[in-house]
Amino acid sequence: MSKRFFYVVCKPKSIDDWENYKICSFGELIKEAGLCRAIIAWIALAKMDFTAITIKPYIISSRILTKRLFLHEFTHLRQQTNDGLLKFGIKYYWAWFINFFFKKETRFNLYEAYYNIPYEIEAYSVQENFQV
Amino acid sequence: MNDKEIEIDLNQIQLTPAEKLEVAETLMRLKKTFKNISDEEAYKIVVHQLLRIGHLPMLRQQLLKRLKNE
Repeated sequence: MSKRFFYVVCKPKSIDDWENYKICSFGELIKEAGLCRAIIAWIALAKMDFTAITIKPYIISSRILTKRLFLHEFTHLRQQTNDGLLKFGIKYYWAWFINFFFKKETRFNLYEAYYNIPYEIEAYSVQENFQV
Repeated sequence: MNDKEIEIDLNQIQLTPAEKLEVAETLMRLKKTFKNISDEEAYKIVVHQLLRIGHLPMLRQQLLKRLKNE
């Protein structure tokens, strides 16, 4: 099977902008979103098989955006705008760390540690409230 | 990690209607980016990537079964 990987990139201006995305190769992703974002996206999507990652102001995904996926990622975009990218990153990974190593209910469970990050709880609740 | 290669006959792939839609939409946009690849290659890229991130569950199960039997 093919080893080529593509990236779906969206730079939404509003919550209604979810169909405004394009498919890029890695080279085009660097041009579009910058080297740092492209490397982070490559690690998260092509190496760790995540579905999507949001690094303000871009949503980068390994599949085309559905409205639900967009709403989830747009919530992270809003959180990053409100808290600032650095604070968001620190709080996000700190919460995961605490969940994974110290919280009784989620200890040593990769998925439960992730689902119980406060930012993710909010994003999933926005996504689940969307009616088709 | 020891990856095992598995050949897939593209004509034998069974997809749900929703998956078919996603593959078709992705193919359309992918062809705009990678202008000089064949339809077959584009189809391979899309199916491979969606499989990797776990979005073609039926096909994934079929392949896992085949891998176990081989």
